[in-house]
Amino acid sequence: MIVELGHFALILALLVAVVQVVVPMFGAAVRDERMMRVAEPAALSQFLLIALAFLALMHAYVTSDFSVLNVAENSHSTKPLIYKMAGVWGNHEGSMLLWVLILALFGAAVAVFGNNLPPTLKARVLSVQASIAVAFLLFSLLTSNPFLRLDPAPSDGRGLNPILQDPALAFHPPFLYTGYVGFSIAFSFAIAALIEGRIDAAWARWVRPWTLAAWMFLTIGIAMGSWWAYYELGWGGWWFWDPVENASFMPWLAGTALLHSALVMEKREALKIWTVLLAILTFSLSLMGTFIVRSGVLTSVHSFAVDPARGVFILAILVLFTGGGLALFALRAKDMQAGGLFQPISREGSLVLNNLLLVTAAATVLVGTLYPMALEGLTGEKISVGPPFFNMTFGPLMIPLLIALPVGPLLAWKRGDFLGAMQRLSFAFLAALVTIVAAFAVEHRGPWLAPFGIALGVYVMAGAIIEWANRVKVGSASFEEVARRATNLPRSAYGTLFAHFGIGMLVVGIIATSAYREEHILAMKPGEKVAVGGFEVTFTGVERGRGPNYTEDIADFAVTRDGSPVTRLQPAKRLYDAPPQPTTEAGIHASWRGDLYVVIGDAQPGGGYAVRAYFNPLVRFIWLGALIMFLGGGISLSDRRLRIGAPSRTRQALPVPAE
Amino acid sequence: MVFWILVAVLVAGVTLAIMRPLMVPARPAGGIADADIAVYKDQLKEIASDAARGAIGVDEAESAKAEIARRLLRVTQDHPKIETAGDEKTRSRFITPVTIFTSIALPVASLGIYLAYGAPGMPAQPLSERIADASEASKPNDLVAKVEQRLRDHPEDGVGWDVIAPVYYAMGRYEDAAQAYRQAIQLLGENPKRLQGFANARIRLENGIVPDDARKALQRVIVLAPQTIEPRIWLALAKEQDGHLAEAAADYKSLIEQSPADAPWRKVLEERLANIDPAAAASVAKENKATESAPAASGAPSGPDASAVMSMNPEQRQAFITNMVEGLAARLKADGSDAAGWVKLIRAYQVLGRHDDAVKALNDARTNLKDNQVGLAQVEDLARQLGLGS
Repeated sequence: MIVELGHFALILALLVAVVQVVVPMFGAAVRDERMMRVAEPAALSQFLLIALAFLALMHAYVTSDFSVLNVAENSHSTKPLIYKMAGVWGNHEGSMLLWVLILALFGAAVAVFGNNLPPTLKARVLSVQASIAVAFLLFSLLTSNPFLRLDPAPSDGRGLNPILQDPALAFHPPFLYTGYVGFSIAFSFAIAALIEGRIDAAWARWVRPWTLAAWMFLTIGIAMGSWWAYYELGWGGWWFWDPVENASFMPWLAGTALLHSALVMEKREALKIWTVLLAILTFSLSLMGTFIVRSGVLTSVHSFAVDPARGVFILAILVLFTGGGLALFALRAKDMQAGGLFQPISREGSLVLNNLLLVTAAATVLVGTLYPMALEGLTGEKISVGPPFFNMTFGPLMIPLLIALPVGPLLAWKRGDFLGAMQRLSFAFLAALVTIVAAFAVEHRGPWLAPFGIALGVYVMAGAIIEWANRVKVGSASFEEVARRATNLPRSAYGTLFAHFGIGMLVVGIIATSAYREEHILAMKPGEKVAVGGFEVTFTGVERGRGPNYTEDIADFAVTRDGSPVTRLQPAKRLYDAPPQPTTEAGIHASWRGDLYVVIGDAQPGGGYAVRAYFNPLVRFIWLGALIMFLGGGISLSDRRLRIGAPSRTRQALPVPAE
Repeated sequence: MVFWILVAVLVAGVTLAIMRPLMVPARPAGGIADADIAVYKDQLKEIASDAARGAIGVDEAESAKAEIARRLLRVTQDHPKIETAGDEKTRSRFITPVTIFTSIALPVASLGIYLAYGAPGMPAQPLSERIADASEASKPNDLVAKVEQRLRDHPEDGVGWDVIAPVYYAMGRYEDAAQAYRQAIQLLGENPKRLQGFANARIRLENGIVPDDARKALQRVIVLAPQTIEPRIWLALAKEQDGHLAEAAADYKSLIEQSPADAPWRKVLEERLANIDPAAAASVAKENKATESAPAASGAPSGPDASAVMSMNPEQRQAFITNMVEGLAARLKADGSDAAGWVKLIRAYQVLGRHDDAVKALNDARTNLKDNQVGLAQVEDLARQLGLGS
């Protein structure tokens, strides 16, 4: 009964969403306050209904009700409880339900907290938000209904793909979806503003925190996916420029740009039209990510034929919202009022540079992702656009971005003092120089560009700290004054500090790992040794073990450093019972210097085992950096102040118009 | 009943909640300018408190205030008295129809869609309940679930695996069957029955293709029980699937020679042989007068062959038919010029209910027979007959 109630709730939610699209939009058009207000209870009911459906499905998973087709296909009675719950979104149908749940949650949040929004704007935002919900609820019910039943029920389910039975991956989709879907709010606000024909003062105040929240979750979601790939796939790599990864990375890049332009807009009422466009583009990229991952174009262009309904449906959604949004933009943007003025060398100017570079980077990734797919679809020719393409295109775009990054926050709004900023950054230049020298001294065997890359990361980290130090007047004021300023500094400033510092760490980690990674692939017999990254690794043997739902071959390696024991690594090869599928479990020893990473392969003829051993220097900086960025986002989000960017009073030249 | 009451409560509650704003009198709506002004006033307050805390300097606060003042001014200039016009009567004209339409459409449409897609009244079947019920109802599925539960707690129980493996096989759960046989072999050791069972399950799982692990198992069966004929048949078939047609033909031939004249598999072997080497089949047939008419170059069993196939149990029959079809498909893939072969394959797929494969084979045949007008006509005739269309 609970399952059926869930099914009914989902259908009712669709109809409520239809009402929410039509009535408030019409009400806003004829200026009828009562019809506009329908949006609020509709958004709330829609959320509650979808939540009911979601809980009903989860209940079916937890009780292993295999009369539900989706449960029978994706769950198994032996799975640990946490993976039964995570199994709800570990498959296509359930994950779409989670998608609409988060969408509805955001809509409901706008309904509840949006009291200071102008009524027509609020009605239109909720209406647009509901139209996205209608599209995805229809998609869910028509092509991927999670509530279809099976009678008689099979005695057990087919199980969750074991490589997905992992804590990081269990929580990766909800974070990622929160990120994707969070941008829907920015999109709805953008469309609503275009329909209104004007951008209200409350607009940016609303868009920025939503964008920030979405960006945070997307950041941590991508980091979790990368972390999972690192330790579970057994390649020792952390990023593959794989289309699935790019699908989440493109909205991240565009979202980062949106975040910064929304900042300009909130503080200075400049870049209004550009921000609206970015909001549309960012959500479109999120939709495209969903399309690439969900439609089946990924595995092969031809799997469209396997389930044409789904692919075509999502493509239609994508075309409707992207095309519709851009068409509306083309029609209305010219009527909108452009915002504040500023000089090229100013905080705004630096953020425009940031935007241009990030959007170009997103476009490169888009080309690198779609071109091979399009080529395969048109000619059947398979090409691989791998890391070399992205290293040659994406990499060079990041260099000016990173160089400019610490400069921007040091420039004043409206008109900045470039030389002053450079002077203040001298400590960062010094830190970069020292890093280059040190890196060449320690690792002279690596690629010659690598020390410069690491220095760039250090420069960004130092720049973030300098900006903070500058604001609290370290060095020019008494200790008490500095402490007072540090406590009074708005939390958003700390958010900037953390986020920019995290990006620097990330860069250091990426360059160090990519340039100085050590890799050994060999066949080892018990008793043999190999030296990796300053460690001595001795293979002691392989034992067979049994877990709750798998059997495994566990290898044992003794790790010593300069003769003294450090740890024992136990990489394993698992074979799951249902479905019977092998997975690798890497043995990882983490240290500040880097990770020792050992994977066991197949038994070799002659009694040995294939062993791959890596040393990944500073690889933890990558995820630590992402985590710090996430925290920075959180700190900034907790700062609910209204923001105004005050220009400094010195008038040096006439400002130029923005946009 | 409880279900329908809950549904009714849900629909009524949601409809009422949504329609409520339409039923209460309108509140005076603030205009856009009001909302903007409110935001700017909030901003001014915020700056004052920031300045008081010392978070921003006096100069900064002053210029920020000036900035906001400019914005305030702009709003009030741009939108003098917005949204105050409008006739109350023309607005509410829409309220009644919207209210009535929505309150009817919401329940009717949601129930209608649900009745079309849902399964009202179908009870939940959580695993725990089904296991508890199993002793009373003793449905085979649930008995299996019970044994599975036991095996989960005692995966070292080899007899349990040995018992459940053929049950899985009979239920068509070949993957589980193969796994269960594998466990039984690991725990209790090899015997011909388990190895053969494992091989059969793997073969069925691969739709008649004999995979490597099945081959190894079959070879073990031959070692353990040299006189058995079934593994040899499968291994010969495996050779044919690998494209080693000559070896396969030789094996088929020797197997036919070893088998008694009334052996049920004999016809099938002759059949396979005829398929890959008609001449050899004919000579075998001639040598052996007990066989009435050798099915020369016939891919589908007919006449006596059919009856031989019929004498097998349905399992075996299905497996052999599947095998034959796969063999034919493999041969046509290697050499697609045989129009008669295509006709057989398409027909066979259609008979087996594998419609998609039939359509695919039809398309492949069209490509392969481009230059063979007669053959193409045959295939097109068949397509029309079977209604496969274009």
